[in-house]
Amino acid sequence: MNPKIKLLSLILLSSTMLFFTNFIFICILAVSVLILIFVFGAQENFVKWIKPLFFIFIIVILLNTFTFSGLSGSIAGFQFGVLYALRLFVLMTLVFLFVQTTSVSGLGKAFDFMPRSISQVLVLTLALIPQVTELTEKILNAQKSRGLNFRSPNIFRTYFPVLVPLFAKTLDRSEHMALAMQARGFESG
Amino acid sequence: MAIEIKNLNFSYPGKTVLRNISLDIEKADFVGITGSTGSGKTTLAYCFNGLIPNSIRGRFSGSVRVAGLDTRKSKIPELAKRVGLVFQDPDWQLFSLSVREEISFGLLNLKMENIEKRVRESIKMVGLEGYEETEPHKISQGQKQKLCIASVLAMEPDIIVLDEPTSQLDYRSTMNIYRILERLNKEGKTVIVIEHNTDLLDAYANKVVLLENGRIAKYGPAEQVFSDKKLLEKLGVKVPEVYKK
Repeated sequence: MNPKIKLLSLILLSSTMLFFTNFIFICILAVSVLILIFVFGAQENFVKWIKPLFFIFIIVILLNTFTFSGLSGSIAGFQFGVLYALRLFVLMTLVFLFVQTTSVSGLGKAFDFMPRSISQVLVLTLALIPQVTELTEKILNAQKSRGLNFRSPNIFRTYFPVLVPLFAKTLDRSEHMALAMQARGFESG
Repeated sequence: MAIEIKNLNFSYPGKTVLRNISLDIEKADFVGITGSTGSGKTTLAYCFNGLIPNSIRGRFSGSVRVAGLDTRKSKIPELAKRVGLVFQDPDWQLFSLSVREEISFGLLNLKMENIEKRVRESIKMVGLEGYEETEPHKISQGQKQKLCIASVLAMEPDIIVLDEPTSQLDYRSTMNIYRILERLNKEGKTVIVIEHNTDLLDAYANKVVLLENGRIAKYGPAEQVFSDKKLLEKLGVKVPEVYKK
């Protein structure tokens, strides 16, 4: 399918979710998207992708349960939280489906209709994702080989040696990338 | 004259990097720039295409003229048509989603004509046929370096500057890159290479700039610079094998 049509469908479906708050409608949408994931045979990747996000869904439900209309621990708040978490789930699943079924160059083509400077920024961001992932993996392995214990209860102590080089390297890379783009005649303004 | 530098000084805040550099590079020269780490080689390369002083801030004095244009008074895109700069690490500059898009990036920026033809030709020149739709991130390091060179070649600049183009490459890829550069030089392009491997410079460059702590320690024909073994040893630069005897 044309990446532009896919992007348009993604935008339309996501916007629909903002306006329709009907629980049954959202459930139907969730089931439909899940069926599509099975159709495309992306269930394994999907589980890997969505698993860490369950933490966010639980926070959304808890926050709504205990802060809804100023009532603490209300059923209405819980229901509202579940609805919000479900909408978030569908939204993330839609994004996953779009990314899974579109090649990286297809993703770039989907932004073709935008002004060049904007589409370039989006392409740059997309291209950065696998590179940052690879870099993170390298740093993790380097720190593991130096005996860093990821099971330590002190999160700050555990992740500091990973985040610092990751940020430093990413910033350094961005700076050089900007220079390289300018050297090939790119003007952001 | 391809590049004329007169009394160039450049300092980053709190650190002087280039000191009183005067250098003339003729058209169709193959110039090697070498020196120990931190001697100012990369900073000098940034002066060739106007990134210094137009984009990288610091204290700049003296003058750099590239193909007759004063880099202080010219915009970077204007200079980019004349000077192509290949950065040291390909991962710093490759960001497009396919090899084809990566090469056409500069051409679109400079609003050049015959983009498809130029892309095709530069891909052929570096031997990346068949990789047009591949993501740059997924090709080998040698191919990435070739892609960086192709993306500069497509812009057809008269001067090509390469910052340590073979630092991450194996022997075969290194020789491939240098053969491409040699061919371009024979076609009339001015090639400037920053390189630690003095054996390569001795084999390919006709002139060599030896930098020491931001100053030119020696500039001249390769054999003249490399035969000064005492100076090379003093600066921590490897004496090429043929001069060791």
